Amino acid sequence: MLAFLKRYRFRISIGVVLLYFFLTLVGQIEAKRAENWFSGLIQTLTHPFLLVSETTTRGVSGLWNGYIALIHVQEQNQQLLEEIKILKEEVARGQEIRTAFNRQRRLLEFEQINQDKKVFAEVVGEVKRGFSKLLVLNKGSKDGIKRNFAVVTPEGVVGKIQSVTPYGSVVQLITDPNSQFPVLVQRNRAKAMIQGNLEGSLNIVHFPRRTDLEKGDLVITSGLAGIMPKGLAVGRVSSIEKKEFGLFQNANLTPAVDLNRLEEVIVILYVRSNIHQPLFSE
Amino acid sequence: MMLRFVYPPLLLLFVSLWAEAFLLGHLSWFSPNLFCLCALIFILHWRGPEVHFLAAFFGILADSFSSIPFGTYGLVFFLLSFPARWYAVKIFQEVVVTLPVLAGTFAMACHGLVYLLLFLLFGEDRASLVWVRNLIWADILPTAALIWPYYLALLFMEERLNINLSQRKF
Repeated sequence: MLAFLKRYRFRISIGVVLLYFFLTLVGQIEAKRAENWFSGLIQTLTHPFLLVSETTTRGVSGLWNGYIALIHVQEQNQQLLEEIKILKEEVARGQEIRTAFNRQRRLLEFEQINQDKKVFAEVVGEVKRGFSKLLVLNKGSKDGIKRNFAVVTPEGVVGKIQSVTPYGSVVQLITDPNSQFPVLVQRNRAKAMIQGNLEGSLNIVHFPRRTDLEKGDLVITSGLAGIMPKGLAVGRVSSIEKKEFGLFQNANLTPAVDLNRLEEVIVILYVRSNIHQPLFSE
Repeated sequence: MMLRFVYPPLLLLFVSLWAEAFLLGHLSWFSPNLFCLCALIFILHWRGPEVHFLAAFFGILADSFSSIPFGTYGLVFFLLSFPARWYAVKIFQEVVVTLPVLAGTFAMACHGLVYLLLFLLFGEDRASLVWVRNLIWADILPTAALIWPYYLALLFMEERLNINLSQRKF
């Protein structure tokens, strides 16, 4: 037996690996993207690494902008140019502070308007590959975040928590091709299902042909899936495709949130009107 | 002493993780598949039977930062490592010009196989011309271009660590 194992160890190992992948994938046919210990471990291990990278980059950038660039100006020995440079830097810094202030103010206003219990988190990483679009946040299960919690901004829905580690979490964006959730057309309250697509926008799928839908219609969350709270903006209808035959019409949506410029997001821990939400978190 | 062969995969792994999650995540027009690249350069340069398992390992790392079912990239990298290793052993000469062609072909095959698996196992069929165009410009071509610095980094590490992966001198 031992000699057999030793002789065919390579083929046996190949077989074991193939069997592992096959069983892992078959196990996910019903419940897509099951949580697993390996990705949790990798995300836990890489999270401090990402934080250090972010901090180092900020430090180096600050050193470069605030010190080395000034030495270069001094070397030129032109007082006027130096003053202009400093003033420009101050203006830029002021603009940056104003932008950050406006961002934070919008978040605080949203905090006052929306009574749900929530956590504010910063985006520390972003992974975009052909088939998926994810964000990495700096808050995790230590802050009360769990899987499937809704991630929003004052402008609208961003996505949902895909996986959580104690000090970080990964968000699946609404434009991710694997994201799907129910919505309402705000104007006529028609129910629909939204799905991300491979181009980075959103599609309304299985929308009955006879139901009224117009370009520019605002689409909001319906709250039916138990993940997204009701009434958050999802996007506006940008194009409608209605064929001459068939039961359904197709529509394309532009997301309400600019998902390429996210710096801070809000994770909703539970909705005030229903403390049991989100229904499908762990 | 024997463990020196572990350093090149580990270093490239950390660089790829950092670059994918932090450095390149903000760029929508430049998102090379660095784990795919790592797997390929080890297959091409190392050529030993261990590279199949290394490719599977890089695959499940890619799976860790992806929303498609866990194990898809792992299985795809593992399956693709067989023809790639056959090519590396039988045909491949370390010619600078062929490297990006190989990387592009490998990345394209990788995406094709992922798409096929998603279609066969999960019924996903949502390809479009815009997506294919973005995939080629933002993923496959950058992956092909980055094989040179990655390959040079591997050769540099081999020299510094005094090892030779292709001759199994650790």
